[in-house]
Amino acid sequence: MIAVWVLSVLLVQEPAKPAAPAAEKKPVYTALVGGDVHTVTQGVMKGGTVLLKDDKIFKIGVAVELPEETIKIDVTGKRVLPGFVASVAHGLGVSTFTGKIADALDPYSDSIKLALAGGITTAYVEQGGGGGLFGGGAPPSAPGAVIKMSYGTLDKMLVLEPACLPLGTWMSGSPSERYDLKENLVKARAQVERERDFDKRRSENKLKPGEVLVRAPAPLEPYVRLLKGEIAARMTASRVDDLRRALDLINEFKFKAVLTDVTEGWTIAEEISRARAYCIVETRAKEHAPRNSPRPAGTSIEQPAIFRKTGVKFALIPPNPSVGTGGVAGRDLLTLPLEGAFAIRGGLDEQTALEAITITAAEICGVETRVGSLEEGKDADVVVLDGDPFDYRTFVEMTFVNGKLLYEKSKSPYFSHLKGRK
Amino acid sequence: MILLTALVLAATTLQSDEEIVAYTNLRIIPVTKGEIESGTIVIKRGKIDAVGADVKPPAGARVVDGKGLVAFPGLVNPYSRLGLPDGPSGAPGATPQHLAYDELNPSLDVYGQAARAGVTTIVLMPSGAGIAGQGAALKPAGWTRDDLVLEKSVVLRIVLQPGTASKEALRQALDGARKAIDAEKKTPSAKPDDRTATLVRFLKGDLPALVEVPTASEFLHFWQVMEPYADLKPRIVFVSNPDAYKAASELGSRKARVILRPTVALAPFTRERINVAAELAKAGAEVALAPPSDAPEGLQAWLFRVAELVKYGLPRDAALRAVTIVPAQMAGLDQRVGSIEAGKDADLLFFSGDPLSSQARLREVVINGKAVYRDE
Repeated sequence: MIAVWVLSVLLVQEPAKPAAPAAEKKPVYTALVGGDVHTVTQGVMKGGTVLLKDDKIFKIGVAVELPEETIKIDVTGKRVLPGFVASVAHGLGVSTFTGKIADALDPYSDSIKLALAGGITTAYVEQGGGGGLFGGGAPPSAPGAVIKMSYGTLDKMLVLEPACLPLGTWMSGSPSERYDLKENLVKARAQVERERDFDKRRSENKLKPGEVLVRAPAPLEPYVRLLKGEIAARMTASRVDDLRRALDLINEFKFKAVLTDVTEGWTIAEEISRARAYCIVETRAKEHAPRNSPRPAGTSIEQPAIFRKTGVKFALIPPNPSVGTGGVAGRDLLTLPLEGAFAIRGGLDEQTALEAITITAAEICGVETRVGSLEEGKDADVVVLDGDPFDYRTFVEMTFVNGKLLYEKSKSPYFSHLKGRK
Repeated sequence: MILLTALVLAATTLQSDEEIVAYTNLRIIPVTKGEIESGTIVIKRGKIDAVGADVKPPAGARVVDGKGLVAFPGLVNPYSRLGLPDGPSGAPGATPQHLAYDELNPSLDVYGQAARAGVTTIVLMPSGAGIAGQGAALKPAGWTRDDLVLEKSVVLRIVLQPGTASKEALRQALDGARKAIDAEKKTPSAKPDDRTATLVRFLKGDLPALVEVPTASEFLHFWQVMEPYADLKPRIVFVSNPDAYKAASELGSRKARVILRPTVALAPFTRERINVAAELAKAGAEVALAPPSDAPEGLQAWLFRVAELVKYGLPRDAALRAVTIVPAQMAGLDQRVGSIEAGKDADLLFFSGDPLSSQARLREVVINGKAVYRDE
């Protein structure tokens, strides 16, 4: 009885809530002043200021007027970049899960602290046994999610889920599974055409009386979204035969596709470019060409450079797409820019190498409007480096995610003792 | 041997219910009030009749000279499976109607052992995962279930797991309970089934939930799940582990109530020691300390381990409350147990020195006014 009374009091009070604008939070401004600002999409600004307002980038410029009470951080002599984007990550910021990744987010995970120390602010996480160096895991069958490395809070940690449609079945399924997959795409294509026709006739006021659009059944929904370009497909395609198998499907149905574990792509770069497929590349993967191979085969350190020349868009990931402190120094996400360094060693220009760990990686994950470059209005995900991102001596000094300073090397129990170069 | 003395004791000190006993010249730690250097506790009909420095033994009372003894409230274990069989660990479901009481079939002397370690109230957890069921409160004095059990249903046990399944089950179950509350408002005669009724009691704050949280991140997930029900003011107590220190500031700002095992942990990848209970208390959370384990050695080591936390920064007062009145409050039993106050159950421990001293011996344990153990 008492509980009911309390309830009714609460219900009566509820409408009063919006009438309290005094409680509105004052915006928090943070300014990074004096560094070389590498925007990725709009060139480099020497001695610029990046002004963050709450969780967004507010202003970028040489003479930015700072509002009162701005937290001013002097980064003279440092480089200011967008946070790095890991286009594949395993076991990063999530606990083991069976269903929605949203329910498995682990914002207090130590892996997030390490990723922040590596300058990573956004990652595509998926279930799976890992690829590359420690690979052998089955290709992911469930779509991953794009998450922020927002240590300590669930707020705005999840960016996108599902973040892709895995089409592993097409690559490794049985003939009948592959047939069913193709059937789904055919049905989805018909549905997309029906919807286009419906929208067209509606805009021309030519709908029959009482006509409504028949939606696709739930299992077909992801395929419809794929063909509408709302979501990308992911396919593991390493060697030429796998790549061509994937390209066949992409060319037939024309969708945004991301090819992962690509090793022999450099031998058929023109074909990949024509299909407009994205590639995720491990610069340092090593697979030998078969003996007496009649064609170019195996891995090549020049693959990123060849992709650049032929117009294939790609992201770079390390041999082990996870983070840890044990025994894989320089080969995991803790040192993602080193993948760019090796691509540069193979002939790639530095700008494209930077894009491959920022804006192109974001595009591959479908979140390029929010992250991947320093632009006004984008998410305030920023890293401060003490040198050239592709120099192995460079350390991340600060990492901001959603406008919050979440990593400082000088205060990190793992990295503060590393003095680096003077 | 000890068992034998206990039995002999039970036989020889059969007190009639009308007998009044007065312990005099005691140092008394009531826990809820300041310590009394030298005072008297009067016990009548199983309850504490009077306590204080100026209290005189009433006429006709049996007077026990407690010179050299320190009186402390009986320990309250808020989280235990003592004496219960290992339940099957199925998939996380929602079985709030299950009762730990139904699993209880005392045959061994585990409760007697607990009493001899100074434990006078035990909150027993039902087995299971997800929304597991309702915990019962018992006092370790008696041989049959009905002698032992104080209250059949004092808490709702919820076990969270990292990942997905348990949260989805929780959301659905709570959603159902909310609908039942709304339906009852429209038609007061609508009575939900046991399962839903239990969840309604929880949501309305009539039945506190003991929520097991395996990692710090699960606090955040749980708060997210509970957000839509904040208006109903459910009572929540967390049961966690050293990982909870990562969420200390969140737990503190929400004034959360947390049950921990008394351990000093190490920060990941380092040899840096973390006193989790002290960190949480400093941040503003309320901490109860359960024994290190249900095993006899765990119960015997309980106060030693609590003393270690005090040595490394937990305020002594918070530590003493964390094994008595705070767990009693968490289980909604603080009107009856958890401190030495007039009107409460006479559940008392008499030590030969300070309860947190490693040299102090537990000399006597009194439950409901009757001595159940005497160290002679």
